[in-house]
Amino acid sequence: MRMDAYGRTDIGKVRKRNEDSFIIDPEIRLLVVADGMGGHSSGDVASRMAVETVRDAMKRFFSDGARVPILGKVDPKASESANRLAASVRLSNQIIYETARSKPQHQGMGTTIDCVLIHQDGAAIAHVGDSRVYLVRNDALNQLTEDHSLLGEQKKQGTLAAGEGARLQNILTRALGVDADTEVDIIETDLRPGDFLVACTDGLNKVVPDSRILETVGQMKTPKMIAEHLVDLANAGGGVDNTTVVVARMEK
Amino acid sequence: MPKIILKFESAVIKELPLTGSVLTIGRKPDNDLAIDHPAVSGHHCRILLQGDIYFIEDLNSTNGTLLGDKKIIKAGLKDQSVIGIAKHTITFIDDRPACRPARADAAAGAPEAVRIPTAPPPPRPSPDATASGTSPNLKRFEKIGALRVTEGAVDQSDFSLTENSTYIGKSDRVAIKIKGLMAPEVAAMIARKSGAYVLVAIKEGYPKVNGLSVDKERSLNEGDVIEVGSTKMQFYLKSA
Repeated sequence: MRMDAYGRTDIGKVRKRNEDSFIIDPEIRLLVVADGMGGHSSGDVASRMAVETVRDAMKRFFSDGARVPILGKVDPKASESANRLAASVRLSNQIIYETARSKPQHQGMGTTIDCVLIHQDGAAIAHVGDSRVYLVRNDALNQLTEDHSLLGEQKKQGTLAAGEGARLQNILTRALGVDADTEVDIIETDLRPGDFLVACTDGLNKVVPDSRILETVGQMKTPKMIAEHLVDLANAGGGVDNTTVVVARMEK
Repeated sequence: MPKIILKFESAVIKELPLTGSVLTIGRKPDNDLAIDHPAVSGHHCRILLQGDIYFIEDLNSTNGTLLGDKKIIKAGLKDQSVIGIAKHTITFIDDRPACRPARADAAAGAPEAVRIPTAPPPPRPSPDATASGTSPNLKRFEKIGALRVTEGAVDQSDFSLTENSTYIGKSDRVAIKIKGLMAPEVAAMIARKSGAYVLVAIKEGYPKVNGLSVDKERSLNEGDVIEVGSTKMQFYLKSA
């Protein structure tokens, strides 16, 4: 499946640094969004390392094929490209973890990551953290990823108390670079022409509700206009965090 | 003093301290807090202080009163609770030092709720900013505490401690149920404070950690064995 993709990242109105990173690689049809955190100044280092490591690993896989070994355990239910994608996320986890351990200035850094690899008739997604991937089809918005945040955990368990949300939103329960090993969620979805995939960091979700995201996709039509507009909405709502939005439209 | 903040969409309209034991909210000017909006009923709802818990009570309003995203008739409030009235929201700020979020919960669920004893020190999470020196708005990573029941499981044997306070006891209203003929309704509580976990003895001296009775509270480390009644559990940390 062909895609038309566009991404935008913005520092927002409150933060001193943009710790988000994203990559769009049209050649291997890969989208990656990462939201860095922690250390004294290294959130941006972690997110940049994450997106670049994944891209480089996937490029190696596409050029050298099966000779590249898969890192970590293989999920037999998932496709090969999904397993490759998850393995490249595990690799970037190891690299960030080792860097954080060995360089004092990078101690404590970590990042979320969402990788989307588009293939013939669908997409494989590898996911860690609280950035999100949405599928928009037939005027319906569907969040494909599960938030690995304390807020997400409480929602899942149904124990979230009203008003607690904002405080828990920033606490990640799974991230890249904080442990020697990390579990990577694999999600696979079919895709049809006309579908939109929206990947974003939580700077968007803190301010813009899902209903506005859906509305914007419906009104704006092109990935560029959607991504630009969603980041503008996040900033108009206070720009409390860095915001990154990557939008891809599927074409025949 | 507890207070409420009235917002329209995200703009703050008004801040009001809760001085008395009742505060009425509605469209008509005779309310303590008047909201001049056609979707607000004349006398829409009120905030009441009962015991040391504040409640929100709907006064049979046309469009209803929300707590979080649930429509309520009456419910307990805790710090940062958000009340929804048509397009307005009211945020309840409870800055009383002794307030315990869990109590409001228990009281809201059922009037006959388990009485959580008042003795143990409040497990109120400090606003993380001051405690850890970092802004609460910055993204950070924390492992979730969890308990694995090794002996005397009642219903499930794995519990994630994602809440600020998780109660352990024989009562049906606690999150972690235990065995034991003489076990108390509520024996202990595990508090989560900026990523660290503390076991608070509700019945003093009853819970044991690594074989030692806990009189007041004790911080938990990975691998600690908690013994309450005839149920044994091991504490560990995990990623989601």
